[in-house]
Amino acid sequence: MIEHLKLTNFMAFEEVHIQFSPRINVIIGENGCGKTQLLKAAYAMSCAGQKNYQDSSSSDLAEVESTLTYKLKGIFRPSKDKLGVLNHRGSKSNSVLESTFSSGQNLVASFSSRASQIKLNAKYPGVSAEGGVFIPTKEVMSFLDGFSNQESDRPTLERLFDMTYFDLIEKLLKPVDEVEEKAIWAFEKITNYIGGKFEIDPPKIHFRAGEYKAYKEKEKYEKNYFAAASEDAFSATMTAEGFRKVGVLQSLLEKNALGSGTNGPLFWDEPEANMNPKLMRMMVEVLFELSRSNQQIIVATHDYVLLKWFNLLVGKGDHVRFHVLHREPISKKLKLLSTEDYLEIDPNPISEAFRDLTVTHAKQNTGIKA
Amino acid sequence: MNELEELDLAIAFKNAVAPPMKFDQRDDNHNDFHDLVNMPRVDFVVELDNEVYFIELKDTNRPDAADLGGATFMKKIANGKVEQSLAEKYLYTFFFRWAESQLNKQVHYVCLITLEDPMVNILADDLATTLRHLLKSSKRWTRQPLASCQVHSLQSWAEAFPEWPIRRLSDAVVS
Repeated sequence: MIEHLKLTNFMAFEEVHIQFSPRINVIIGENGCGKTQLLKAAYAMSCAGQKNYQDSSSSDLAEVESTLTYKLKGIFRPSKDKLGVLNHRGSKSNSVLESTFSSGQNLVASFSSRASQIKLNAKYPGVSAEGGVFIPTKEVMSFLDGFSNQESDRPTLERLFDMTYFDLIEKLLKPVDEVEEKAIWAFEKITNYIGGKFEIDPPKIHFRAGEYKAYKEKEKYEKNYFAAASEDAFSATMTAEGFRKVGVLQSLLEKNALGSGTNGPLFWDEPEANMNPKLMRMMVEVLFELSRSNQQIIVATHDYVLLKWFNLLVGKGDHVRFHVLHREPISKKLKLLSTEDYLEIDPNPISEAFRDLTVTHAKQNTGIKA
Repeated sequence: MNELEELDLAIAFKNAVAPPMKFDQRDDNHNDFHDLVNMPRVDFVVELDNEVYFIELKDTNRPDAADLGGATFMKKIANGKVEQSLAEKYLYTFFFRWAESQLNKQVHYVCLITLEDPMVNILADDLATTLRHLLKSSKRWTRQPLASCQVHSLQSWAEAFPEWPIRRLSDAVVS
């Protein structure tokens, strides 16, 4: 679980410091305010100490520096593959990414605008079991075939997709595990809402229609069972794109990449992209349920409906922190405001877009120039 | 029948425990006459068993020539003054009822605005933001001044308050 992240002279940020909720974090801001950059930086740092991420259990400092460099370049795709391009424009100082984790780890990575490799703090705290899951904006279910096919050209794929896509697909291609007890509710909720479940058998991916039902003899069987609507499964590309996006969540639960209570954070960039607003309530309910099982969630969004559901569905014992990225009117510097109170979000660029709609309607109906 | 009228809209408060009050009563022959003429006030006050509702109606589909299309209200939206105006109506009504010694139940403030849902949503957020300090709870308070602050369209009103159907007087039944 990531507790805090401070970025100095990195990408769009001169300096930004974010204190994460251990439960749900919602990052909002106008386009160009660095929401995705913040999300990706937190993801890269969360992964830095992860065992799987290093391809070995070594905590050798040079190896981690080399891997974090590779990771950061793969995620941010700087021009000409130069790490230094990630330095804040115009800055003469080093870029510094600093994060602390609930495990007590403190990780500081820095690089200059001319550096080819990141330097980590000398007291690198060693391997962490966490890491995280990053769900990028585009849905990936329909790409799985292409990614997992041996005949696909890796360099071409790398030109098309940043590393967050590769990382996610790697997780999705893992064999199915038994869904953790804590995540069963979420898994069945998604399945019944979209009317079935995705089955990944690389390189093929299918959708099997059906739903979870309770046994008639409830006292005898504690768990529900999956009742398939037919024996045949059909191609995943025939399902709605919004369903495929939610299907990613479903599949990650089935592979214990989420919801076990010991996973790293779930980072989700614009969950609303290509999603029917009607799906959003269910999705936020699922995210709340996962957060109650100690799954840390960090989403970046532009969407009023999604934002509002996070405000409306918060229950006793839940915790949501809203983080607003905005540019100061005069200095134009990026600043971050964090609050637990939806009504204290100021400025709220998502609401402002809706207000513009309402005010324009009012003006048109009163003869005031819109 | 516990029905009240405000311009072109009529609402039946079927479950009111006392006759619902047209709080903006301008008829000085009436018992409920609001005698402080320029004081902001809500349209209706409705009592249930444990709650009292302050209700304000803003009809942007008014057919009468005096304020066609709710032009006065629309101008307030356009000028960014609508939240303040709606908040004042609640506050002054609250103090008026307190001064009458008629505030013994928790208060809900509900506005009906005949606009489309997405437009109403943002007005709901803005009004709640304006009244946010009253929606919180001080450790020193023994009473909650505002239990909820809601803004509804005709559609969401019908779902939220099935016991309070609305009809348009110039038309057929609305909901």
